[in-house]
Order: sequence, then structure tokens, then C-alpha cells
Amino acid sequence: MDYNNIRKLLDKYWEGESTIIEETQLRDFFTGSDVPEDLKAYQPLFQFFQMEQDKNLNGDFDQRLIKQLESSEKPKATVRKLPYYLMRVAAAALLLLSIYFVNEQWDQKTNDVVVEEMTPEEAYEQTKAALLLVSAKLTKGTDVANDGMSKMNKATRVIK
Amino acid sequence: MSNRHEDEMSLEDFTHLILPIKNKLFRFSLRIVGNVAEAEDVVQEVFIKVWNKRSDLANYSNVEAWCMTLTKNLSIDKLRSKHRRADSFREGFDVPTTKSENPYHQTAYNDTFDRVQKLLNDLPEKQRMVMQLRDIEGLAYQEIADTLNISLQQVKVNLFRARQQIRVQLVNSESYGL
Repeated sequence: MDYNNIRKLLDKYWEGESTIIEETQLRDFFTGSDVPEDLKAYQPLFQFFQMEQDKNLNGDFDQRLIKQLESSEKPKATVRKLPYYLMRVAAAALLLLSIYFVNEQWDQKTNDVVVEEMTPEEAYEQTKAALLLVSAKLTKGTDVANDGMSKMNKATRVIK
Repeated sequence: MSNRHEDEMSLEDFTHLILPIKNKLFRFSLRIVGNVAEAEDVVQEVFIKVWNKRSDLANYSNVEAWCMTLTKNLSIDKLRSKHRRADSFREGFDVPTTKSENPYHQTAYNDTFDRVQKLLNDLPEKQRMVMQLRDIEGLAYQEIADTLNISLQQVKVNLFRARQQIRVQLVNSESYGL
């Protein structure tokens, strides 16, 4: 075998002047069995290159990757119209608040009532009056709540 | 699958055109991070990035070089974030190789691998990357320059220095009978 050609290629290689084809020739030569003593020192390098070229990813890499790419393909979830949804929550909260205030005021009034000895008739009259007051206040509370609701609806329409 | 643009790459195109360079990217990353699992993560991240940018893929004249550059950057990030060097020689060799029947792999395998791997790992980062891309991946000088974002002259200088250094070390270790 003509080792002189190989030596020439090797010199070009060390100088960084060899072509890719020449480098392949060198690799083929050094991974073969026919390497003379004086060139054996360089053999590991080209064997290493050859081994490195055989390093590959595991076989299931493609599958895992494609699965991941496909999942990124799904359409993004549409953004919910939160403002409108929040309006409804706010309206409900307002309603509950008005009921709370009505109760609060009524509680204060009843606390003021002086407990005294009464006849059943008197007691009946007082209870009736109290119930009427409650009824009136509740109606007022509902009106307030309705008013609030209609304002809310107006606001919602504007926003829409 | 919804194609928003007609010229946009489909998953099938991706599998045929871009996926085949996976092992090249893997080896390049492995050279930098020195760990199979991490190199695999890097390649996966690169492909996901490329896939997400598939609508402007046409703007890249050399998609492969772009992928290699992404691989390089992600690998270096990964390495730096861990504050350690890729000098664990043996890691990564549990990867199944396709040509294990070659008797060479069973006999001289360990010795050769350790010695040369160490020589390569001792090189400065740039020299190491240039050598990997040229001597293992067989890239043209211009492709290496594009990948590493350095000048053609720098590619040649780095490759020259790397090879000279390796040559000296190989001859030395041989004469000492190591």
C-alpha cells in the first residue's frame, strides 16, 4: 500500500488544508487494519472520530418529539369574556349587600323597642306594625337592588 | 392541524426535512454539555423552537446552520447554568451505537475513547467546537463560520491550533508509552 499518499494527506490535515473528501480517506485508512508502526500514534484520533459519528439519539426520540409538537398544535383556548361574567357576579353581590343593609337597619330599630307589659291585642297590633315595616323595608330594599341591577345592565350594554 | 399559511411547514415536512439532522445536533450538544440526557433535552428544545417559528422558516437561508447555532447557544446556557465543565468523559457512552459488531469497538474502545476524549475536552471551547463540526460532522468551513458566528479566518485558525495541539499530545503520549 502506498503510505506516502497517506502521509501527504496527513500533513495537509495537520496544516488545516485537507478537504472533507481527504479527511474521509484518512478516517477510512486509520480505522482499517493496515496501519504502519510510525503512523499508529495518530490512529486513535481517527478511530475516535469514527466512533463519535456513530453516536445517536435513542430510537424513541422522534415519537416523543412529535407528540410534543402535536400537542403544541392544539388551538389556544379562547379568552373568556370575563367582564360580562364579572358584571353578573357584581350584581348578585350588590343584591346581597342591600339585603344585608336592610337587615342591619331593621335590627337597630328593633333593638330600640322597649319591652313592656302588653295585652294580647296590643301585642298583635305591634307585631302587625312590625311586620308591615319589615315588608315595606324589604320592598324598598328590592327597589334599591332593582335600581342597582338596571344601572348595571346599562353599564354592561355600554361596555358591550 | 390547521395551516394558517399555505406555505407554512407541516408536521410531515418537518419530520422529513428537519428531524434528520437530530443526531448531528445531539453530538454537537453532547460535545458541549457532556451528558446524554441534557444533550437530548437540548435537541428537543431546539426542535420545538424551530417548530414554533416554522412560519418564518423561509427567512433563514441555512436552516441547518440555524439549528446548529440554536443547539450551541442552548447547550452553553445549560452548561453555564450548572457551573460545570463537560469533562465527564464516560458519560454519554451508554448510547446504543449502530455498528457495535465492529471488533474494534470491543477491544480498543475504552483506551482510545478515553484518551482522545480527554485531549479534545482539554482544548479551548472554540477550538473544540470547530474540531467537532469539521472532523466529526464534516461541515464546510463556511458552514462552521455560520454556525459559530465567527469569521472564516477564525475557523481556520481555531482548527489549525486544535489539530496541532492534538497532534503534539498524541505523539507525546505515544513516546511515553501511555
